[in-house]
Amino acid sequence: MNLLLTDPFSLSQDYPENLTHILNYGRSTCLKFNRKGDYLASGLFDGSVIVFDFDTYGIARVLRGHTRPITSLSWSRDGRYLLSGSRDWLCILWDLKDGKRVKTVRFEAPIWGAELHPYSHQIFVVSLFEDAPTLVDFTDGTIRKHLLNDVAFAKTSSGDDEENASGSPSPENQQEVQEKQSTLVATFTTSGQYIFTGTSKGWLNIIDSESFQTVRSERITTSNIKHIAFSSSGKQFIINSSDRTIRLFNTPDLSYTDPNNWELSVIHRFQDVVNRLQWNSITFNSNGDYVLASTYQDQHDIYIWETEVGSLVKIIEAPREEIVDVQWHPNRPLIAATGLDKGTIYVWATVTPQQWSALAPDFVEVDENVEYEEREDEFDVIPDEIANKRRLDQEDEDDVDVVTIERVRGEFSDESFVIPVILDEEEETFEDSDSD
Amino acid sequence: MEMDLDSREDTPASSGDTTDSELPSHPGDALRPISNLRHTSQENHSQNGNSKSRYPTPHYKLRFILEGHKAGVTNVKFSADGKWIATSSADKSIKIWKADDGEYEMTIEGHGRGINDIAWSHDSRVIVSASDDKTARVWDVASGHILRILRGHTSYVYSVDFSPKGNLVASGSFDESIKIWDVKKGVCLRTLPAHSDPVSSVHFSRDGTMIVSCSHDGQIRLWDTASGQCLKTMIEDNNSPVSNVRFSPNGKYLLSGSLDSSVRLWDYLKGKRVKTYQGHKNEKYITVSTFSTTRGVWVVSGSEDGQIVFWDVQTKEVVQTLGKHEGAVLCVDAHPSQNMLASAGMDNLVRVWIEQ
Repeated sequence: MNLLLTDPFSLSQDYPENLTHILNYGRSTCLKFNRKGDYLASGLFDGSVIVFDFDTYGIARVLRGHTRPITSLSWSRDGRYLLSGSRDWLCILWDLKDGKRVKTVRFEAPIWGAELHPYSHQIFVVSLFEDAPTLVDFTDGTIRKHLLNDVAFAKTSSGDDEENASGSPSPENQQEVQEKQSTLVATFTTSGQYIFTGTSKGWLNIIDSESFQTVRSERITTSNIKHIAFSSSGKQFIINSSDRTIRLFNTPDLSYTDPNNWELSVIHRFQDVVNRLQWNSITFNSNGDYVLASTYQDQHDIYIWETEVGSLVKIIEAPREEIVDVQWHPNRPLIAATGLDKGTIYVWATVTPQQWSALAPDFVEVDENVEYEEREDEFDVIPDEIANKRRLDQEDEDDVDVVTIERVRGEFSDESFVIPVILDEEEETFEDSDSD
Repeated sequence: MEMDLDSREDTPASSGDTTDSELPSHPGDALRPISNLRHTSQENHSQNGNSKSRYPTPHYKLRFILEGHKAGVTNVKFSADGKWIATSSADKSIKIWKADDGEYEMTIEGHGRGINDIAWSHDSRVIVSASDDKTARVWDVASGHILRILRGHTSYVYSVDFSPKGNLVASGSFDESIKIWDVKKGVCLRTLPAHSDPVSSVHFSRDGTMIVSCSHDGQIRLWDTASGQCLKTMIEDNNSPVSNVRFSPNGKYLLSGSLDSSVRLWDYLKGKRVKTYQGHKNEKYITVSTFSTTRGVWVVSGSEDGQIVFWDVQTKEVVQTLGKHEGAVLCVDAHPSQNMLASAGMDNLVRVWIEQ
């Protein structure tokens, strides 16, 4: 609601430039905003999960259950449930209402990544260390694990796509490739109908989330696919691979019946050809206009590219440490990132100056001097009673509705879960984690 | 500043000291049956052929009187779940009553001086109170225990409100500032140099992104909760002190009460006053007005002549007056879902009215 009164110029700023907050609570390894953007979950190296309240930048919940570093976090659509995956081979679904576990699912390997179905908190997909990716469904109470294919689906891999034509291996050595590769990432499409997985040999597999069949495979590159991320609208996705390139794709029309006809061609490649940088983590901004990536090793930067023409628009220098995970706020120009060494969370946001015109009803902001023209009746003396009556009469014309709620521009329209504020518990304290 | 100090005599902060509490009363024996009432007088005004009004006229009648406070009652609030009535008083206490039968539940004490305002959290489990002892305090309603003391204002705290999520409290003070508090940590997040006179009222918008405040300097200001910046200022024409302001239930309008015996409705996006409700008396005390939306859509305010006035929100006509309290009515509140209204004031009593 505040946006209607905010200076439109300040709202037009797309990406943040100022480091505004530093959060020091344990050693953070990964971050995730809820859909509304009023909470930020942070997974710690010691296995705890902290949920920050972004109104106060204080702690809303501390979730303890894992014993090894958290590798991934995923919020349910309504913001009530949080799924955490860890190197301790467990995935835990938390109910943020009371901070209790809803489900704990054990796997046979450390978790690379775990993501909830976009419309159900009882279905999630995990990618595991040297093990097949798994879809877990406990909609009816019992945990069902469905193994998904690691291997590329040979029938479609020899498709007539231009992109594929050059990089496609011959059918003989393809079998060889398939046996060695393992799936590193798995993510749902925005509708939840398909799962996109990326393998250690550069294959993108598209798997139907209901039949568990691989409907399409495409070789994107020859090296590891490290991340796949969809824009919030789902219209584009990016793939980060260890060949130092981030590739931007338009998402094909997935309702189109024949998966073989899905167009999967690279729109833009984002890379730093001078420094030959690897990218630690990638994400879209809230409306898909920008892609950002944090750099690997010595250079402590966050790069922001624009998706329309693919140009680099901004490099944010991180203070002192390498950034391992970076997240863009779901509806504001705000970036949260976590450092590798100390696990400090850095927040960059836009800083808007006070509008002076807001301080008095007759103040106006002008770009240059304006000659004041007085109104014809400006200095007329009107008796108070008459002026008053005129005003009161004028009021009768207005029709007012004080009850009906109209959602205003920029207001989050879905009901979003509010984590109850617990006041009668002792505050948990976290030391600055200097421990190695 | 001297003038400010003088004008303070006119505020309910000092109302408790000047109130003559002639009725001996004890917490607990609060409920009096209607048949024993001395004052059930009720008049209906101007219901004649009101074609412009979309709403039925109110027919409220006294249900019961809650007796127990030993000084003027400064605010009365229904909990969000509608089960409880909380009252704050210049006698330094907060009392909790059951809304459905008016039964006395408990007294919460701890403030060093009179209490000016209270607000419920959205989950109806926590109350925050503002006091002349320069603190705002957060209380657990189930146990009556204090949870947080919000210290920082340099003078009397006049007004408090919980954010819809319950994680923030805003407070307005005689020291001319607004403070925004992190409830969980109990610390002040931000101090807004809000006005050039005491801040008489603060209220959160329904989505929590804005705070509205008003002051004796005649201004109404809107603030961005996250940045603390002023978004808009509105001024009463005659600069009369504004004693109370709140958002309409849908957040599109503001309702303000000022000491020229007027309650006004503002379209804050246009910065324009759209309605003025007159017919009551309010020249001296901070008087809380509110919307009643459970049956019709009315604006309700207490009057310093002891009556409670209902206006049609659209036509601005007085559709009912209720009476009467012995002394100024300082506060009214409407039940969130039932046709029930609570009022209280200088006569130390709380009256609960229901639609017949």
